Amino acid sequence: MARRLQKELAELRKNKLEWCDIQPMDDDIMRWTAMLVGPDDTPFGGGCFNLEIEFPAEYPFKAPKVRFVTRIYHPNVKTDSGEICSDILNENWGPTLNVTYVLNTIRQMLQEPHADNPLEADIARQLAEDKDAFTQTAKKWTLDFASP
Amino acid sequence: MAAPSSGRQSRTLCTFYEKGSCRYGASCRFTHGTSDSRELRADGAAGETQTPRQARPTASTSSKEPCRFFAKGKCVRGASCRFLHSATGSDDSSPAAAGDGDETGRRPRSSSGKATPNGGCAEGDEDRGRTVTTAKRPARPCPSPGRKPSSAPAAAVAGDSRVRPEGVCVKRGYAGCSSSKRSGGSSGGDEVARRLQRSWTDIVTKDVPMDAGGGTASPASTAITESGSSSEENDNDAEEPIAPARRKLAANAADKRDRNTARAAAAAAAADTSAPAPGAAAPLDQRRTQPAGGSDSGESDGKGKQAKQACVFFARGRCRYGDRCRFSHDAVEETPAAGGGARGSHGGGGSAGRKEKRGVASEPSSHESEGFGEDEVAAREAALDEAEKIQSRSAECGICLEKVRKLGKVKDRVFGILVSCRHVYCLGCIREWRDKSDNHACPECGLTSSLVIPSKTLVTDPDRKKRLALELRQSPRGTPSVRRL
Repeated sequence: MARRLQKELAELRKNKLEWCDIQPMDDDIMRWTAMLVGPDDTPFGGGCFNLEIEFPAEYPFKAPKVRFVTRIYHPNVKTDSGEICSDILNENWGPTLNVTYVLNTIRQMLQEPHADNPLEADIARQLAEDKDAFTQTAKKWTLDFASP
Repeated sequence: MAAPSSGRQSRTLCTFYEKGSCRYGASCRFTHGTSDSRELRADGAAGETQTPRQARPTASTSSKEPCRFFAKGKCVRGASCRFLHSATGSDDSSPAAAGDGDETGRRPRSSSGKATPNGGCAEGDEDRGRTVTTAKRPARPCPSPGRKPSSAPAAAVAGDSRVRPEGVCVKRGYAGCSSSKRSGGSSGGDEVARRLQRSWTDIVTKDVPMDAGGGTASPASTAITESGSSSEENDNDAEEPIAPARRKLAANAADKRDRNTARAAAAAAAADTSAPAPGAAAPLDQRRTQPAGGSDSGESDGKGKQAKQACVFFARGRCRYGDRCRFSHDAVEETPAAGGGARGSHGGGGSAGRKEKRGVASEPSSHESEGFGEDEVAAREAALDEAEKIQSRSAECGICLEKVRKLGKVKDRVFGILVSCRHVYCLGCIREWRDKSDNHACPECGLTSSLVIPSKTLVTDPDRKKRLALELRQSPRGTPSVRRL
């Protein structure tokens, strides 16, 4: 499905997302990097998060795997590995979805963390019990790790 | 339909006639009359006999009162009506009709009565008496009176495109037509001639084999029809309609042959009428179709095939002609037989084989008629085809994002059409997805489709989809899993 990825890439280059810049990694069409700008109305606002997107051979029948390279304080992202809760992408995946969908979903996730099924239970608990503390920590992390 | 093996006109009663609304009039392939008349006919088949029409007057004589309904063309009782059906046919007992042995079984085809000069066409009288509804149709001249065979070639050349090739019949029809011999000058001559020119080809094809002995009725006249289609209207029940385009093709092919055959016919016109024309005249298909006979049936190529061959595409579940396919879609199998029997006309025993053929031959024509609706349907289909072609060209698979018709391998250039929604996928992609996902939902809209229809074009019309789906499911391999094309 390399051809499809090429098409998607061309499309993304033609219609750039304001909040995201995307590149294939090392000329490997199956691995892309993306730089995502945190949404302004969140603790991640102003941060630049690097993502790594890896497309399985079955793509688009299987969702790509996305990993945060930049550290982020978020209940759905593994703090140490940057792994994203797989349900978020896999749940509604269909072969007609594409990278743009993936990026949008992630952005959505930053705006509205899913506390129900978290990868980082502690962060999720903190979000539910003490949102201010969460926001504060997240902002700090964004400043520390995601500032350009 | 129940076709008597003798090759006579079908003895099945015409239901429309009984309701007073048969639009085929004399040329209807079904019996016009009530059951009584039918019996009569059957009984008298061997010999001289009364046709239902002729029978009618007899019956009517019992009551001198004219039938009011008959006058309006609406008498549902037909031959068995107690009242006089004299409005149309003044001379019911025309000597000509009575005199000729073969009137009996013959298929009432022409409505020639009016156009024919008095006494010219044996059928004329008969027809007049017979057809209630005929009046509505344009009168067709009996070509036979006063016509000379020599005019045949010219006519054939000029003939309309629907013509079915049949040299033999032509000749015989002409020569055999007693009326032509009998009536020297025809009052209707001019008109007849004109019409004849036009419809000559029809005659050629439609022409009923002449009975040598009887030599009476003019088959030619019977055969003539206003237009190609009208004649075809007669037999429509049995057969599948053909696409007009196809018809044209056949006609073209036929045309060429016609010229030759017609010429030959003209040359041989003087010769013995009963003799079958040289086998050469008959198109190959016909021969194939009707092994028994020999030379003469007048059948168009396409039709002949339909009778015999099964449609391979249908078998694979993707015959795109659907009902219009010229090949057999199984269900139609009985058609050929029926057609053969139903049609025959003249009584002569010797011509039985020929009759059979004849029946088959005319069969094809029947369908055009099916209506005028037929043409509309065809037009709509054509429009749809065109639209599909266009949209297919640029349609992209929602999964691989490729234009399906431009996929690398030709064999991949197939749409996988979901029955429940209109989203576009190539067959490979959608099948792969359906294999991998646990439900059979469209990845785009989530509607579940039980079936993926492989198609070279992007079919979006719901009716077409249904048809395709049906074909697919009925095809031998066509269970919903449809793995192959």
